[in-house]
Amino acid sequence: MSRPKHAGARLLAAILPVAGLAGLWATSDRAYNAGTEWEVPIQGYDPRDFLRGHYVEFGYDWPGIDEFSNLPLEALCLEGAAPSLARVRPISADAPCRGARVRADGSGVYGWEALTRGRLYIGQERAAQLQEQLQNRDQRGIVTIRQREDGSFTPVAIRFRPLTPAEIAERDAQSERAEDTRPPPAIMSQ
Amino acid sequence: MSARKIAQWHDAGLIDAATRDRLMAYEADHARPLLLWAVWGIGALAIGLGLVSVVAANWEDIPGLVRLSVHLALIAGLLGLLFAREDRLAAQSPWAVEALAFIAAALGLTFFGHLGQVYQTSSPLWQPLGLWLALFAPMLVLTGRSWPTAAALMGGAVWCAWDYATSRNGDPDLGRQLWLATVLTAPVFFAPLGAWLQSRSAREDFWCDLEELAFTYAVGSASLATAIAAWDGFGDRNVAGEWASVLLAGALGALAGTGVIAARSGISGRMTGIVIIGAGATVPLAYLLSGQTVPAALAFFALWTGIAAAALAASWRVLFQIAVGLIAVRLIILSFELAADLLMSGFGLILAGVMILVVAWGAVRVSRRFAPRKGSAA
Repeated sequence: MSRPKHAGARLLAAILPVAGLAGLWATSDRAYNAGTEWEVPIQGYDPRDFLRGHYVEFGYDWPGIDEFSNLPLEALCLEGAAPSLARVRPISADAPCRGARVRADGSGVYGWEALTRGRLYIGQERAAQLQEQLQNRDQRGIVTIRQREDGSFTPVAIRFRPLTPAEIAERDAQSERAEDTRPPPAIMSQ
Repeated sequence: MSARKIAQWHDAGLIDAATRDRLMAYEADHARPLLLWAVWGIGALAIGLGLVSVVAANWEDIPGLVRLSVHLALIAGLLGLLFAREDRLAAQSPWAVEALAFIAAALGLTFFGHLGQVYQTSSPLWQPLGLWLALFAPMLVLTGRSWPTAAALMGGAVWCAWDYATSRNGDPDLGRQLWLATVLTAPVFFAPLGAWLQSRSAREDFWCDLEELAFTYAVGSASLATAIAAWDGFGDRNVAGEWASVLLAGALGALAGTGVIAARSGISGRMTGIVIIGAGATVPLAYLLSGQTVPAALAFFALWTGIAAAALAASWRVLFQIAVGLIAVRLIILSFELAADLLMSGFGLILAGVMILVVAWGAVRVSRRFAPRKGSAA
């Protein structure tokens, strides 16, 4: 049952998937290893959503960006000496920027939230550890991103450091302020 | 028919030795070991799913480069084996080829997830699915022999199309709406392709299964459209762009159905094509009737009465029974929709119960009385 007329097509059909996957692998590898590393503080935006499957999900806590502003971030200008990030400045997608630049990829999985939210794939066991660490309020999560010339970037690693005394003081002040803004109990307001 | 039965008939003196041998030989040639085939298919499916979860477990202890190399080598090895030995393997067991092709395709799909884990790339699902289809569809189309590969191809296409169409929100313009209607209708065109290649390929089962799956997609989408219309799920209507896109979807469905009629002669091909055309016409009709409970249900009844009639004409027993069953279920749902406030009273509940019993009894009677005889080919 030899079908010589199909041999060429069958050979192509066998080679195509391997060649395509190998090509994709090569481009992914090159993109992953290219670029400058920056360390970006992160925060969880909803503890229930930290882990879904085997990736950890986080919100970027860009220094210099008000976390309560609801405007979608198009692009950011990174300032500082890599990898330590001093502050960032929001810019429009094509605005010039003297330093390094990251921009939101609207076609990605987070759409226009690409500069607000991110994910990092990790192993099953490490995911469970990280979930606990992300809930510990005395620690600060730091994600290392690789930023490339074209403004695209990839999170590559996650680590934690204890909060500095100044940060702890700021956090406590914030939570006290939050308590102060609550209306007084009914009996006291009379 | 088992060999044991034939041997018993011979022992009882009903048939002579020559007849027994001829019967045995005939049965051996024409046996369709359905159980064995199902086991092969389920086995291949289990391996495919197992591969997905092994990759999903993401072993960090093994360096990414090693894991990816092993993964790609497995794919290359399977494809190489298929290319070099396909005919010989198929002569012994077509299911071995089917299982190998399916597993190679499943490994290919998990490779995308694996790359994402190692290189931290995440993209909307339709992108890897679309690329997977582009890379693996030629292999599946050239080696597929039965339902697992046909289902992988059709399932991949439908999943990719729906994920693509639902991945962007916002207010799409006219051009994009027409494009989305085309993308969502595209999987139906596997029906004319399957119909055309059935008589021209040695792998008739594969093309037949592919045609049936595309038929199911067309009928399922049309039924879904009537269900959405019954809840008024289309929302703000009379937007010119939406009208254009549902009309385009209907026209493309009709084109695919016409293609089936042209590609496959005989009553079965004609009926398949007519049902697909009807399914295409149902989509704009459902959009027109959106929000009107009874007309939307009537559109569903019209679609499935047509399918039942086609099944009678083409002697498709199972499809006829499914059609009768679905019409009965929809009748019951309609009675609940219309008597929602009556249900609060005991009398309303009794009425609904009686209605369910009458419909079920009627459906069983109709199905028994009119269904085509068992054994007629689809």
